[in-house]
Amino acid sequence: MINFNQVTTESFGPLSMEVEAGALVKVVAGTRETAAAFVRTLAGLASPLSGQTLLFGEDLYSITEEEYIRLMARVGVAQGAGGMISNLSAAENVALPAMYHGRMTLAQLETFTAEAMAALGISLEEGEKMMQGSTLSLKPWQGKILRMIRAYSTDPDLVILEDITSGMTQEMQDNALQWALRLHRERHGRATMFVCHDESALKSFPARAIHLAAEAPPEKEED
Amino acid sequence: MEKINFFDDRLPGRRLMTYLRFLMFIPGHLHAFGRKPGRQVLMRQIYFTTVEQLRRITAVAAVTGMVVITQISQALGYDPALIGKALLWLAVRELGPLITAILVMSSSGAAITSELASMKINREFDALRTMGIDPMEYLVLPRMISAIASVLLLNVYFQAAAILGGGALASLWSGISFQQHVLSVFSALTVFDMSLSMAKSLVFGMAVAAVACSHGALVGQSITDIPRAIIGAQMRALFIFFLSDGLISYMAL
Repeated sequence: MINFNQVTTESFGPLSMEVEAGALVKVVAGTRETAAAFVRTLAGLASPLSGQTLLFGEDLYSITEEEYIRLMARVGVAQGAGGMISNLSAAENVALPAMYHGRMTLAQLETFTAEAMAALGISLEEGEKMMQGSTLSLKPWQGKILRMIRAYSTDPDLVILEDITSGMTQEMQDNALQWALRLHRERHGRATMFVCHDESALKSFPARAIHLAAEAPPEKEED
Repeated sequence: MEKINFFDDRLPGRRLMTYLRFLMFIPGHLHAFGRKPGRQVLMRQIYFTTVEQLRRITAVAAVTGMVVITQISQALGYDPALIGKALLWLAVRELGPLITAILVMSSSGAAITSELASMKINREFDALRTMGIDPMEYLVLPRMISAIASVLLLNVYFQAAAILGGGALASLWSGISFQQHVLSVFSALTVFDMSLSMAKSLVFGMAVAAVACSHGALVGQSITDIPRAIIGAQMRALFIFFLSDGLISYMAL
């Protein structure tokens, strides 16, 4: 599903790794900047200095824009910061990819979002308030929750969650990880990748860990 | 999307090719409006670029009509046939398309450029791409279609407002009957005049669409590039309006 072949960027590398369909992986980046750089490279937004980045067997940096867009419709990305469309409300932001790709009706999306909020321990009232507001009024953790719900709303083959737990209470962190784990197990063949700068939040999480090297030493893998 | 580099700004031919490339994007991607979010953006844009401009267009058109009628009456005396033709030439064939395009470019065009530019700089284009949504289809295409439709529709509205509003205001001012004004214009109106006016509007609308959208979508990396993009778009659009107006009028002689 994902193949990094000697990928080097200004922040990390060289990195070689393979993530198969159905895998559950945590990538430990060391710093927020490195985590963001890794996600941008994997999402086809920042070309590496060298190496090959394959996603679903396609080289992300040599395919056409149309092919890239088609490929990304199979991926759910929840960035650690930003990633919201400023001229849409929070609810419209969450609904956009699912509605655009015709993956869910509005009613299905409402049910899915309500279930997600409940699983994350957010009250109905708080959830409604969060969804009705502008993206500018969201607290950082609220933005993370909405991006996470949005990433799963298209039922993707690959989910990339960047720094998803930082800024959350311990209880909410646990809820978010349990919800992601449940969705991972429910969908056969889906790969889920947690990208974090600090491993402590995911220490007990049952996933294969990949540590990004900041400089020349090759990536360290532990199963 | 291809990034326009520093040298492209110095080559007007390259700019023109960029505008044409943006326009050529439209025919092959109309299927994007088969999706509900695409239709929603289009409807919202048509509302912003057309409906919200009506009050401003009404005022400018009525005053333009009144000025034309009173000036011609004062200079050449009251001749309904002459006034009808003068209003037709100025309001329908020349000023209608031109003023409409300038008003749309200076309001909606500037808004489109600044909105797209700030979204690009805030990496919202990238956010859409990671969702498998083409920003050209979702953000740029509806704005281009609405700009073209807006200039066409508002031109027709401007002409009607200039003839009716100008006639009404001038009849109060000069004592010439409103009915006489309107009849004199409509008796001089031909299909050729209307076609010429609509052809100009179509070209101006395409210019608004391509210039406003391309300057916004291809903005640089810095926040200070936004005002530069808006000013650049306004200046280039004005140049295109006057140049193409002259060319079309010359070709229609």
